[in-house]
Amino acid sequence: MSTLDARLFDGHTSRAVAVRLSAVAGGVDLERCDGSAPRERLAPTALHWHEPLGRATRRVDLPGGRHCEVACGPALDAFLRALGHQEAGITRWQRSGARVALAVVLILAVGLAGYRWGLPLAARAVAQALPVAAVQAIDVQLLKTLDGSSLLAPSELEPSRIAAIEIEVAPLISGRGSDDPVRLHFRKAPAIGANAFALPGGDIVVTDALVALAPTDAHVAAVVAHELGHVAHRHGLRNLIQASVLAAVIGVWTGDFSSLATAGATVVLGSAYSRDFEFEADAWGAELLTRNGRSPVLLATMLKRLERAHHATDEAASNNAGGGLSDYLSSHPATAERIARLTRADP
Amino acid sequence: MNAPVTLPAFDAPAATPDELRLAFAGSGGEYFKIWIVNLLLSIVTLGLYSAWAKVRRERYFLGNTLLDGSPFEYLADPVKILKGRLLVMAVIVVANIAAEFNPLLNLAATLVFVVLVPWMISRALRFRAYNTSWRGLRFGFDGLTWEAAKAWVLWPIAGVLSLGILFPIALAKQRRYLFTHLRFGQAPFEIDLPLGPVYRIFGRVGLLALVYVAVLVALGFVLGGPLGLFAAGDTAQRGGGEVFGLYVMLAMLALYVGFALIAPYVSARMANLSFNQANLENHGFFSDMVAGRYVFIVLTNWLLTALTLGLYRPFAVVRLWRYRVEHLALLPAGTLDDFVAVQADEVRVIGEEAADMLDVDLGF
Repeated sequence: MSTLDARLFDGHTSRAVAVRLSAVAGGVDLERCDGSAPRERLAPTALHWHEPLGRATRRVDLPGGRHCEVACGPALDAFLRALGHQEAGITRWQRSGARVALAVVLILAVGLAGYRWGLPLAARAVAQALPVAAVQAIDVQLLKTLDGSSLLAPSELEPSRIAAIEIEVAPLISGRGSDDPVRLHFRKAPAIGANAFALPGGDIVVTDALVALAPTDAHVAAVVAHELGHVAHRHGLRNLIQASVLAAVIGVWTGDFSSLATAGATVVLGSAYSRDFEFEADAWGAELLTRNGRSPVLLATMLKRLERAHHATDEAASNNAGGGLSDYLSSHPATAERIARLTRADP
Repeated sequence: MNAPVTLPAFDAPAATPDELRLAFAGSGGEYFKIWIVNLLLSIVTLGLYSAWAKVRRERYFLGNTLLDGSPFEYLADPVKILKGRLLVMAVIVVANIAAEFNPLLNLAATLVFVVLVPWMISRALRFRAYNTSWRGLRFGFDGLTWEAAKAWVLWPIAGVLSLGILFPIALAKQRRYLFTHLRFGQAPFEIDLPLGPVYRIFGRVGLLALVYVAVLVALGFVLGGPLGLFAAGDTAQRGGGEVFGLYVMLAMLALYVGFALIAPYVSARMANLSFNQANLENHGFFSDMVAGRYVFIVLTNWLLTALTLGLYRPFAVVRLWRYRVEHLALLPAGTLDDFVAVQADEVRVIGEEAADMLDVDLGF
């Protein structure tokens, strides 16, 4: 027979009563050490052993809102063996070092697979499923915010130049095989420099500096073809979804110990996604250009010029204000690789 | 047949000791196993298991926290936690989507949250207290939403409007709210928190911040001088810009870390102050955390968590909890045997049953 010392609490007061539990055939006998109450026979099913989550004490619930505290140790182990008590699966899982190691490996595998394939696929599915009208509402808000800030100012281009570019771009928009509306916007943006970007809902913004950098209007149209690729693949939305999921996951994983660290990790992990997006938009734009009887080299030329222009501004900036950090985290890396691919795409 | 194991309190003499220190029997390695299994199951079940994970985490921390040899217990039902979480998530998702389409709805959602937050705070405190027990007696909390609104919304707004001068009062109000509405069984907690010491804590923070910034500036000049960063005309020199950029970034980082450490510093000092001013019937409390040590633990926890890509986190949580627990003591005025539970019919009157609905981690 196996016995165990315990402290009994009745649930009504905090007073502990010293008791002795004995494992007997057909159950457990509960006996007060001072003999103040008769011995009580409890069925094994009437005892509810709490999950062992510590090394100090373990709780077992008894009928009538009572419970016992038992010290952990060999005596308790022997007592439970005598009762034939089977621990829950999760307890056995946790006690096995190999299974804990397996859990670590599985989590890392799930994390990596989710990062590389799961999240991009899910973001694409969600982005494609959203109605165009809903996404355009985002665009209107975004553009309003940008126009209200110091980032974007009204374009200073000649209206005739804008009209000429629009004529150049029109066949690309109509020939891309989609009825979703696309709107072209021209803005002056000294802080951004020569650039073009697509908002999630099909609004494309081209800066005056980019038009100035382009040798011909056909070159501007080639850049717009690239941006149309972003729109077709809904890159803006996918980026938004991926960044928010990444931030949430990193926050949960690290316990959100610092919003700065979370934001930093999100940017670093997210930059791999934007590289993929650039390649995808390039390929799509090159295809569109070829279909319209134009050369993808136009886009390659613009990439070269853009890189040179940004390099020059970065150097100027780092000499003036101590910047130069933008070099480390560029979202348009591997320009040489992109140019090579576009040149190959030229029929 | 085993030799009977004696439990600590049984052999203790009947006379009550002067101070009963809380102890923590857990370890980082042990919690790591629980944490990783919790995480795996939460991922596999797409987050549904997180409610059970929370219960097991709380039970690990409270169950290994011992007062007079008896552990605290966490009694919450995971199913109710899950329902509460789904409800909160639904509200947030609906509010976010609504705000995306209409800025006016955005404003409305913000207002709803301002009203909702105090309600959630009072509910969450009630939930947590009711589901925590020691020696079979539950804690209880009966703070009202309106008072939570004053302590967590109105006073902080007053703090901002007064450029921070009234902010310590907001913090003191929050502490008072936490303690005065707390019960153990039928026994009420009380706190007598004067404003003077609270202001002294913030005075120290101000002084420390001044010294810190002064040291940074001095260090900047000592390190920056030889590099010639402040000499006119040198910036055009090749590479000078890059070094200067790095230099500015380091200074920003040091400032950011310094200001991020204010919160743990205040937290340690406020915990000391409030426990030392609180009592449970005739029993007193004693908290003697060293704020510098506490800040050091928080800082090294951040560093190690970042260096291990998050794997150190369970160890970090245990380390901080252990420090808090082991620097807290109960000063008993007599026996601890005479606490009495709230009767079942009284529970219904107070409405504690309804408290099972909402659980929010507030980090108190």
